[in-house]
Amino acid sequence: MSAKAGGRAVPSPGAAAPGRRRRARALRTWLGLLPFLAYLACFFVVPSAAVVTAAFENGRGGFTWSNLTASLSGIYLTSYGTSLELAAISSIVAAVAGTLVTIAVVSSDRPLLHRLVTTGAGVMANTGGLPLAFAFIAAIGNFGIVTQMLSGIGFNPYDHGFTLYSFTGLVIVYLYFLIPVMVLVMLPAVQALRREWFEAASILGAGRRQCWRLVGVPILAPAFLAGLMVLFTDAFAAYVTADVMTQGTIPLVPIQIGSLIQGNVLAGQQNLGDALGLGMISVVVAAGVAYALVQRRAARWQR
Amino acid sequence: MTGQRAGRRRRRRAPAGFRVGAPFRWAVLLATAVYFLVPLAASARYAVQGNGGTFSLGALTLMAHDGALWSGLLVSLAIAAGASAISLALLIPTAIWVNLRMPSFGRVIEGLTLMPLVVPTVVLVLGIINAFKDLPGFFFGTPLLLAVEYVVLALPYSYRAVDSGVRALDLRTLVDAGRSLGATWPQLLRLVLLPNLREAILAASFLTVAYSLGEFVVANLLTFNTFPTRLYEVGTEYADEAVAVSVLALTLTWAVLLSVSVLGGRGASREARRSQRAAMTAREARRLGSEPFGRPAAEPGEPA
Amino acid sequence: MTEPAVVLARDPVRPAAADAVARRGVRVEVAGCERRFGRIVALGGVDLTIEPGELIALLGPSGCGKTTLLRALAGLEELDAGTIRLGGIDVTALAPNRRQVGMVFQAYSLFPNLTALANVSFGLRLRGVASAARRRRAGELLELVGLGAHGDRFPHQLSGGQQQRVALARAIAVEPRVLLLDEPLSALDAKVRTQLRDEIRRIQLTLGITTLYVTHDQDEALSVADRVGVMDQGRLQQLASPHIVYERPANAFVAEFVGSVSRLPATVGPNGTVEVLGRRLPLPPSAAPAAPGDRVDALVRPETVAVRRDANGLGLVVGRAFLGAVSRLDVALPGEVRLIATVTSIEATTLGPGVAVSAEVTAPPLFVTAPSSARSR
Repeated sequence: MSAKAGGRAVPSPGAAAPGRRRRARALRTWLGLLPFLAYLACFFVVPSAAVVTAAFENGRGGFTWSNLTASLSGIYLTSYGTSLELAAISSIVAAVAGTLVTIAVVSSDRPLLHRLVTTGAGVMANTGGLPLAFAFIAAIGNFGIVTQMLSGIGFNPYDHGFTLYSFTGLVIVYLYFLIPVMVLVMLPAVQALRREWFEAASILGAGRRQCWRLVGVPILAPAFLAGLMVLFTDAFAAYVTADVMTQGTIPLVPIQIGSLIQGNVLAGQQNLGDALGLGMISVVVAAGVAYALVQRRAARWQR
Repeated sequence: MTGQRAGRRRRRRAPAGFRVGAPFRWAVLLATAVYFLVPLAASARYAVQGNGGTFSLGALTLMAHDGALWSGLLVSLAIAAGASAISLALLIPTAIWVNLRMPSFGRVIEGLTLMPLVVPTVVLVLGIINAFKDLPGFFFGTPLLLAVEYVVLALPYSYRAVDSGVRALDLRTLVDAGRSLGATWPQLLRLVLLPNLREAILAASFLTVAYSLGEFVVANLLTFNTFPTRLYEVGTEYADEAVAVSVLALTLTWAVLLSVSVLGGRGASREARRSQRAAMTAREARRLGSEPFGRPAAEPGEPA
Repeated sequence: MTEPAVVLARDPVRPAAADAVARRGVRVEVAGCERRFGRIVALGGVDLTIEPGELIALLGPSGCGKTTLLRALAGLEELDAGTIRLGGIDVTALAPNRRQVGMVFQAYSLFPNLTALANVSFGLRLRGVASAARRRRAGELLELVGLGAHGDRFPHQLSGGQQQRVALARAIAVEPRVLLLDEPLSALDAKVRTQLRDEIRRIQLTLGITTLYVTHDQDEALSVADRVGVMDQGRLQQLASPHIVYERPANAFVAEFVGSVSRLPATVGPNGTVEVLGRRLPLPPSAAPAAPGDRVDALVRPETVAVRRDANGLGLVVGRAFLGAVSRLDVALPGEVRLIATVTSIEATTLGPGVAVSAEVTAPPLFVTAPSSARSR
């Protein structure tokens, strides 16, 4: 075709053809992505959008603010508070603990330990839900094995105000899947710390603590923040573990949504769940924006 | 000989660039081990505990006779198979296409695959009900819906597995070589690309399978009877027995995930070996460059 | 420079310039330093004194212990035995952060999260220098290394050579008593390397700071150092001014490691002579005891070999490399002997590969040793 166009020696179609062909090629390139994009649109974007639109609809399909207002009052407002607090506390604790574990692992020169922790973290990070809740109940639940052992030596934690089925209990259980995620995030960053940085700092007069404060911490900060962000969303969205462990005694947003789905709906609150869902999405997005803002400062030196 | 010597000396130094006190290190590692192992040990123990602390497999045998659990398991396995089939059919061509034709777009696609993390699963269930409840029953009412949605939910993990596999290939060269030898696209895929992506494909499908076998939220809220939902019901009736089965389920999932990470680890260590070799060669070259060629093994030198 | 009469005498030669500006330099005394890694002896009893303001280059193959010695001076490596004194003070047990030394690493040692300016002022910050004074001083130092305009760049925005300049500025910002350079140029391109090498020397002379410079590159060592220490297998093989090390190596290792040499079969003759390639030459004074008639190997520098085109000659040119004004010839002699010779490039035009030549040694060999096992068969 191109030979023919050239043979005719007419300038205008010859000049237009490359542009048209380029456009055709671009179109074909995009067509290759079509199955993936279409799938994502049908089974992810459409349902997500349905939540957002339903949040502003009343039972007859008209626009209303009442769902949102209701979702930000009473027990639901309390749920937001508790959910945010739970996510914040457990993600911060897990982020710090995960970082310390990573540092301890990387600083030891045992390859076996390295391998064990990387593999273990990959596995544990994906452990959640029922088995996790059951495992903790079996260990330090009312009649858990550790509880029995402790009361055997005269210290039953349940006599001293502890209970697994509480806010504290949830934090303890959440750490189980949050810490491994943090370890996975931090491992590459901690391994990339160069010996020269610490040696240079100490030769310039820094003690061990100053080395960490002035060099180690700022260099690890971007990875730490990224990890914290992931943990926060993970903890905020977690549903099963909390549901099984607390049977709804602690108000959390995902649990409220779950019980609304399961049919505990009062009259005139059909779309209340959607409003709560929109709220959860907003929280995750807001956390993402806050993360991006902080990260821009912390990771200034990386760009 | 010099290389060997240098190697030994490198190994003697800590691999990390920093030092932390041994007491700190061991305290942290010990606490971590206790925290992560005690619940496991406890549930394993619980699972085989009879009345009065005796050893008993009663819980397990009771569960083995629970018909609903078995049928739930069958449903779960079917869903897992369906989900990983859809997932592979969707992701492998996409990953290859992106890396071959629009590599600059790779970051965007990766970002898209992470989107499911933004919408909490519970919220997605709401959306599924809103969007699909009026669709004909053959879709909304069947486990097919679960399989389809598990593909989306496992996307952040499965796409990454496929994508990193594709990236590790020298895709451009493979495709050009294959095309120049006269292969058609389907032949290229079947004879060249897929065999080279075997590990990535296995990893991606294992991840999807593990996700599908363990997923509870969607299945429960949409009132399907799968393995995890039945487990949950049992748990509300007989706690001990549920623990027993959950230990089994956990072991199963872990076996799957472990095999993924071993597969991944094999790939990674091969990669590491390769770069190590490259570094070694560079070092050798530098060393050779610094010494006159043909120098015989150093004699015991007399000090000045 | 005049040639010293006694070859093995301790060599006091140091440029007068260094003495004139030696304001801050202190004497560094290393005595009996030993360090083992498992069975490997990294330092097997090293004694070394660096005079105030002097620059000593430690040269040696990798694994010879030179870096270990430098790191021991910095306090980064502990010693099994021996003492280190800086300016008369025993610092052997002192932690690195209290030794007041400056160090430049091979590469990538800048703090990646700090700008060039902040890197340079890091040490001043630790010493509690006020912010304004810190900035001013760091700015001056960046000027000194020619990077005044790059203060706000982060390390990854700088080239390798620029990074090493910043590292140098950072090391001298705290006015260290001793400057330690650990192969500071090994990661750079050849061109940047020479340039920065000369600059390091210029700055070192200006500041008059006592400096230990570790390198595996002999050109680098010979060109910047007041004295060169050649190390092998954890020991200092020779410590002398560059031209002494080159012209009067203390032993065969030094002779072969510094510069290039050919190993030629030779016979010890009477009255302190040695016969090489049919010519009787004075036996090198530094040779081990050898009786007349002993077969030995003579080590000969390429520039002391004359090569002539000779149809009846026993040598055959097998390689020729053009090096600019001179060319290097690779000549095969009978008995698997290889001879390297430098000739002017004009002469070399007629001496291509395949040409038969005769070769002659025109100056006393550097050194004679026992015949190498490869040819004694």
